Amino acid sequence: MQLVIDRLSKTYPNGVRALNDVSLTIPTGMFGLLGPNGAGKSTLMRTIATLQLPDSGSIHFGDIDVVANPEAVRKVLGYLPQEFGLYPNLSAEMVLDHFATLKGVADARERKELVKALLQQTNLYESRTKRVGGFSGGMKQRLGIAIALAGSPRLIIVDEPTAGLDPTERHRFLNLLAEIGSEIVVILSTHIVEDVRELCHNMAIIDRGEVVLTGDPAVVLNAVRGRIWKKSVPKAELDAIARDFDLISSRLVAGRPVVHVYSDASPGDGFTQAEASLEDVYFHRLKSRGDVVEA
Amino acid sequence: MFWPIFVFELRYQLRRPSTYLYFTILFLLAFAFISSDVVEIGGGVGRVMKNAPFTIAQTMLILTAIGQVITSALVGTAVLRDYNMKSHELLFSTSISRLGYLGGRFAGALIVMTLVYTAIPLGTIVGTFMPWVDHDKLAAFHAWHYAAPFFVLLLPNLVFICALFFAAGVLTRNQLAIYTLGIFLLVLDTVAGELRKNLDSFKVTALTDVLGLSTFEVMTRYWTVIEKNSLTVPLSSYMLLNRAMILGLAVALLVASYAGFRFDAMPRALWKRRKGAASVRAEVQPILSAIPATHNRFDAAARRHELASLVRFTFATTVKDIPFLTITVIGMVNVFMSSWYADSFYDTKLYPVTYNMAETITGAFGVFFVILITVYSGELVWRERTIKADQIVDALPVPSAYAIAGRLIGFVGALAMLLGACAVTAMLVQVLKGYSNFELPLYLRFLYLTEFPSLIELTLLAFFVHTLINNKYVGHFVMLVLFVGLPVLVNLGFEHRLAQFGRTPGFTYSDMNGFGNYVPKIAWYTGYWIAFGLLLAVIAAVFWVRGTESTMRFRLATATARLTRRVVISGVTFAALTLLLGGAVYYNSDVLNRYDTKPERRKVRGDYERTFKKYSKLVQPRITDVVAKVDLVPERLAFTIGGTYTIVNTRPRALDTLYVSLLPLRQYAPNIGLDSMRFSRAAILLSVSDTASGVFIYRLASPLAPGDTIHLGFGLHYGSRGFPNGGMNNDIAGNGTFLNSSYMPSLGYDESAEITDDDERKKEKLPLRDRMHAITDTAAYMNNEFTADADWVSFDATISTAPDQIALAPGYLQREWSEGGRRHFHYKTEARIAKFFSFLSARYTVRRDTWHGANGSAPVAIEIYYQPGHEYNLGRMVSSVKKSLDYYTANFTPYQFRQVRILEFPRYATFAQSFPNTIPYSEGIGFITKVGTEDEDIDMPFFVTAHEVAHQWWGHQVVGADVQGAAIMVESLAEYSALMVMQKEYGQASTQKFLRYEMDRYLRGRSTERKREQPLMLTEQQQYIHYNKGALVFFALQDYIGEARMNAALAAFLKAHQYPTAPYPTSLDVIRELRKATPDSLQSVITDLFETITLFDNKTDSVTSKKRTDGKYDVHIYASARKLRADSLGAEHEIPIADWMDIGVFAEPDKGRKLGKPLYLQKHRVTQAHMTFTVIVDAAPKRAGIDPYNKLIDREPKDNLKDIATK
Repeated sequence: MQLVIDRLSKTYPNGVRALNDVSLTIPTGMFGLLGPNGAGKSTLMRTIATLQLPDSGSIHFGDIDVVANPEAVRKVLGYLPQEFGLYPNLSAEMVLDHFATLKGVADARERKELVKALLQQTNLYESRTKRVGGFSGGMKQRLGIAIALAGSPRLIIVDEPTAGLDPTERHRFLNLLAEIGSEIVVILSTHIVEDVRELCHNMAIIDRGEVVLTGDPAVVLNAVRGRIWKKSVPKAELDAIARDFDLISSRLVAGRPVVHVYSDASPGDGFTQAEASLEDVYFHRLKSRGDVVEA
Repeated sequence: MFWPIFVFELRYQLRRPSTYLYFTILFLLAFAFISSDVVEIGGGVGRVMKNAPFTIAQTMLILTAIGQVITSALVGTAVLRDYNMKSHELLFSTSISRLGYLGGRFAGALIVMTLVYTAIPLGTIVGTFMPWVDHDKLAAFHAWHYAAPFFVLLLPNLVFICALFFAAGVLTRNQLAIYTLGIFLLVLDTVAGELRKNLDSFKVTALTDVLGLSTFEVMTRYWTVIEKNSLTVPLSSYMLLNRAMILGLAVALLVASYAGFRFDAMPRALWKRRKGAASVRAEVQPILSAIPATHNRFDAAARRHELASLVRFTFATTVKDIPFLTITVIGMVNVFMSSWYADSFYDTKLYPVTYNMAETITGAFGVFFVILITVYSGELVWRERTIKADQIVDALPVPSAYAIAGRLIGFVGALAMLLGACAVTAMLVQVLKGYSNFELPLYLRFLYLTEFPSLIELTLLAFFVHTLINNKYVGHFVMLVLFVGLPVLVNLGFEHRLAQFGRTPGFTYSDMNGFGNYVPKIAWYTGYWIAFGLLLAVIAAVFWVRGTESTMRFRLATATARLTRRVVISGVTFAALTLLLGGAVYYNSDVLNRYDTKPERRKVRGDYERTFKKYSKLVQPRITDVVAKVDLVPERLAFTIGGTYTIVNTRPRALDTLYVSLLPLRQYAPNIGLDSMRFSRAAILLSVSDTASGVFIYRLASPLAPGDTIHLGFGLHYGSRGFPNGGMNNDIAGNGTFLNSSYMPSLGYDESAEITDDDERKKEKLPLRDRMHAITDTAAYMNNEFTADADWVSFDATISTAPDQIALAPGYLQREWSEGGRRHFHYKTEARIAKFFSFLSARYTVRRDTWHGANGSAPVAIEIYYQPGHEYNLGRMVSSVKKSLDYYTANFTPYQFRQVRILEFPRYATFAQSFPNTIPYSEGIGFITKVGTEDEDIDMPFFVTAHEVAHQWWGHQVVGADVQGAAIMVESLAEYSALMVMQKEYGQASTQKFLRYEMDRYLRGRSTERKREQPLMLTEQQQYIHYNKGALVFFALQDYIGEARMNAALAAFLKAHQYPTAPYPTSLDVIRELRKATPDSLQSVITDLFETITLFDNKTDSVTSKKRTDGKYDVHIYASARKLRADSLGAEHEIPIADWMDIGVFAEPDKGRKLGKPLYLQKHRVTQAHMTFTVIVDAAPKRAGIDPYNKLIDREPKDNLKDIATK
């Protein structure tokens, strides 16, 4: 079962071109979607989640035509949007049970087991009778994750799922996702490049509605390995470096800017080779498209 | 920092289109009110000008109250806006001061609101200049008439309302809290109003009345037409107190806002939640188990599961919502209060019978349902998007139809639960009042079979509107427009119920007749509107927003895609059902019955007058004998009336044209039909006559010579067919038929069928007419007040009815038998009676008793025919009949019958009416009245019975000529007679209390006079005069000249005019007799009481007392008195005073009494505006004053007594 996106385009009424001829093939397993704000990630995910129609192009999940038959894909879908709320005056258990029912878990005993397991997995079991309105941001996020995972989905789309989670929770969730994700299609959109490297076998970088890069993070990393150089420089030199080198990023380390540059050979002049990270790939790709990227 | 924020707020509000929209709405409301009859907001009837200062002030007050919705939207959000737009963190971290921020926002919003509200005076002013406005109803323009109420009433109200909503916005930061607050305020005011009614204190009113409406009402309740046309807002101390209270409250609210406001990022909860939830630490636990795999199913059973879960879920989210609970609790309180005070009649209460409670619920909770449905139907559409759960929910594998159905059913379930809670509340009231006959099925039928369907219909409509409009605020606004628009549509002439969405036909429940004939009408309409509502729901489902796109283009595209076979089939099915059921309704109201609009009905009456007025002077012979045959078929709501009149020419010349009038033929077509109408000698029906008009004019082949006799035979049938659009004719009922002689022909042009109201006559372009013939019109003396075609007649009636019912008519029962499965009764009178009959039939139980008169007069049989279960007051009624017969036979003349019968009839009408030896008495008054046990409580069943028995004298022994003042011989004297019987039975306190009500009703009555107030002697069908003032006047005269003298005079009048024939007596004859009995010194009292409109302005300024050495007390009473004459519109001028008035000194009252026993009570002659009276009393005095019992008509009756300041 794989998700095939073919030449998908979408322009909003205000003229924003959110997707431009996007084609992707997403196999089972975790798939990372990277891209800056406004790149079209959410539009793409909402379109796959049947919440929006594309202007043109098609999406197929296995033999389900997502655009023509949204009902069919909803039956196997687990979706967690980037920003969401839940019914504040009801308990977590009631909300989860309700959503499980709506996902087709009709058998009461099975649903009870499921709700219990999900609440435990998301560490909400102790708070299951509490009103959702009193939940912290992290708890709410975890409940959203539980809802997305409920009902054995075969296509999971999670948009920035780890935002608002503390590091422990984040790892816990990602592990859980990875465990489930081996058999099914999981699309994970995130800002955190590390997440993708750790979990995903496939990824894509989207920018301004277009796919910039696709591939296995390991392969992608290999392609730049040995070509990333770093150097700690005084602030005054930054402009010169940006002019003279293929600057990927610059960040302050202990008050002094540390720059990463891309170069096939050593740029010399105090540069040392840096361990290539997916982040470098990401920034390099975006930079080369002329984006202003802040890091 | 104040200034920039203020300016910003002003600019912001002035740039919002909604500000102008609100201005336009208020402008149009005020404009439409003044320039058309389409919008009705109190005031402006009869002789009160459309732009009278009183009307302007009232309009401003009412529109301000309505405008609260606008205020809440504009002001409540002044602060909330920053939170909603999430700009608060940015804003609050700048250097603005709290005072500057709040002050600027409030001042800006208030200024904008003031500008918006200038729409009310502006709309009114512009409205008065429209050319189509009737200029007779417009006074000259006075800026002050607009400015005074604007600054005194509107502006303080506005400041208060703005402060209230502002405070709510600042302190709760919750949109719904702001919305519900407005409702809360209105309800609080209603509840407070209910309490105020019982406390009856101006000061309490002024201090609890947050919108000034009640204070204004109390201050102006006795204003006459002239005063309404000339006086603007009364700046009385109470009004000022009220205004000061309002502004004080506003200041307090603003201070509270300032004190409670912090530049916080997070709203603070008003109360602390239970600790928990948020504080649970997210401890990492080992993964316990893998997530179990599930077997998802989407078969029919699973879908049912989903639906059930959706229903439960919606129900839970709705009923756990704080605003929902708030509205519910307020509604419950309102239900409780309303049912606690359910219907009082004078000061007596009804037993808390179940139908009364159920009616109270639908009344008291009605507006809350409208609010809940409007707000929460919006929530059904918007909740997920508001809390941002929409993306999750919309991506679920739930078909939209299920999602919608689940929401609707869940919400409607919450409403059903509310109804149940209302019923429980009402039952609680019943229990607390010691009543235990709950009649659960009746509650169910009232609440779930009539009220509930209309709630469902409304929900479907609101859901449809919100779905299609897809903008919450515009959706609410459209709903508001629909609610306000419906009555306007009706006023515009769209009276057909088929076009009035969700309006369940009104009905009257009766213990006697149950839901009667209303059941099919309610059922068909309910089916029709539900089908239509479901059609709307299907359309809503097609346009349901699912997903993150909601542009019209997108929605149209998805809508087309959603038109599946199933959707189309269900849509077509509901559309077909709507048409089918609507067709059935149409068939009933327009084919089986006649549908006509108010203007059409008015035109029919106008045509009647235009066509037949020329016959009004046509001399007619008199009916002398009536034989009637009435067959009632209550099972089919049908009857036939036939009979024969014996008609004699009592005039000195031959008559050849006979005018026969049978107006029910016109009124009840097509349910009614004429079977026969024939004279005993040859007569040609003139061509002008036709069945539709109900008028038949015959030319006799040979004229009827003086003294000659002719017979008229007639027969008609009536059968209720289906249901009409308008009111039902309940004269014939399954149980409780009450027909009167209007179904029988009469002779001569019927003036009472003319349009009487001046405004209505103008619309028909008919000349204005007097309400009655002038007392100087001696030609009118030839006819009596009630029947122009007869004097006194013999009466013989045979009635048949259902085998389990008893049928009754005036006269004595001659024979009763069964034949052809029907029960027959034959009644016949021995003496001649007024031509005024009734035919009643019901499943009666009978209570019998006998009155034995003094000195061996014949016994009188007393019979009460009543509905089983209504035994409460039978004893009081029997006792009243006996006491009445005692008093009237002793003081007036013997009783002319051997029998007094009281016949209960359903509460389709709420009166009692006296026919010869027969008194139909509505179940709605008297039978279920709960008489209080305190000794000052008025025994209303006793009084009403005494009044009706008195009519056997006043009305059935004497009746006046058909001229002004005739009613005093019937109604005023019956009131007086009943009062005397009551006084004899219950003592003075009860009578005095009763007279206080009569005074209030008289003064209020003259305040709403539409034409001209008349002196009692010349009353023209003005109930407040001949009932309320009549009782006061006759009682006062009796007080001056003594009971014995008074009754002797009345007996003399009665004997002189007993069973009169033409020329009939007039009120002048009554007054002549009274003057004879009145000493010279009191002759002027008769002038004051009967012949003029005389009022007093009496007041006790202060009272002092001093204990004397002999243990007695000197009491000094400083009083002022003015005597005023009023003209017919209430313009007063002072006249010299020289009147005898009571001066009274009273002891400390017993517990629960207002007044102690009199220590001194004597009449003094008052001749000056300011006088001092010094009296000596034996015991310690408590209160004293002038005219303490309010025997004289005084617009401020309360200031007559003062507590004594002891020296």
